[in-house]
Amino acid sequence: MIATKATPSREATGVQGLDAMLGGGVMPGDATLVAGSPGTGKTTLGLHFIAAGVAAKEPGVFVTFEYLPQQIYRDAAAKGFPLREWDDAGKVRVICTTPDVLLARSADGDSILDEAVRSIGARRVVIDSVVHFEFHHPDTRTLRNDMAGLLNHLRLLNVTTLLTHEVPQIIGPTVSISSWGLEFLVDNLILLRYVELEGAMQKAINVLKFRGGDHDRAYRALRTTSRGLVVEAGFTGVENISTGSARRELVDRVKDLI
Amino acid sequence: MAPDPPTPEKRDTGSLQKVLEVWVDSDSKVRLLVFFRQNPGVIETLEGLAQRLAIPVEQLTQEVRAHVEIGLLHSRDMAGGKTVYFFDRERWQELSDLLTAAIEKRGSGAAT
Repeated sequence: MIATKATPSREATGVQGLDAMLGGGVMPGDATLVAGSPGTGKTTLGLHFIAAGVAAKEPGVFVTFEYLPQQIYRDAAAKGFPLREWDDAGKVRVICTTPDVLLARSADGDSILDEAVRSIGARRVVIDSVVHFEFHHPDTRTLRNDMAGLLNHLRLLNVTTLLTHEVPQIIGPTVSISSWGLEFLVDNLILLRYVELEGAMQKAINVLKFRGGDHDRAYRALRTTSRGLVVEAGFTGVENISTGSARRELVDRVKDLI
Repeated sequence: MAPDPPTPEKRDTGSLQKVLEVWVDSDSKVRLLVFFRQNPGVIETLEGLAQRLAIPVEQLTQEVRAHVEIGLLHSRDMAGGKTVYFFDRERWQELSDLLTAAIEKRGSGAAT
């Protein structure tokens, strides 16, 4: 595991390069949304966040609505995170359920999420992914209210939260995070996306919103390695990244011609 | 006069006996146990478990009930009359320890 160190009063995401973009990490108690196209590394970023918590003696709850814990353990192990071991040791709790079951009895502070947080003294929570709340809500107004309630509840539990959310577009000039304003409810927003650069697909990361002060606003290359995610240098000499079809700057292309 | 409470050893043996009876009873009970051992954080309805394990709900109802009786599964009533089931890791550890001790005891008995 590649350790990254948070500055005081920040909590490391555990992703090499991302914490530098955030000036040391996220603010304790904040809710961070990681939105991205399929396969861009949202769940892996969540695992990094949990692993960084274990390294900092901050237990974490990982909630999965889609994958069974055994799949999450396997994927985590492939990145060098012994999640099952941590789960057995009470450093982490991996929960697999549905949103309605997870949050039932929240008003009494007696939900399954409350219990999980209490049982290991969790300081971090990952919810993978928010899209499943959409399946369980009849309308966007109720969904937004319930999500705002959940985020407030998590703040009161004194945990730092990372939520993942699926962006349906694989590539293109438009990126829609949600139709119900999820991006306005969270403190921080990190976008993971694909960028086509001269015929090859690359992953890019961008911090769109951050309440912790100044941050790196550049698109940076994101690479998946056997040890998880690594944020690399920015795309220098490249323009139009946000359209999904980046190209080298005009001056460089002209230089090639002459 | 009320009978004396069972000694810890008797209670353990009784508990283990019941657990083993549950497990050797049917293949689907073993599948249920293996599923929760591999996925201790699953919190699921009977219907959800049936779907995941590909076991008919009617059959699974009995298997789940047997595991609730030996304390390996717990239930929680939700809104809308739904009930979810989840695994008790501590009870599993307790039963594992009992089983290990019983096997070791038998092994040492056979050796002497």
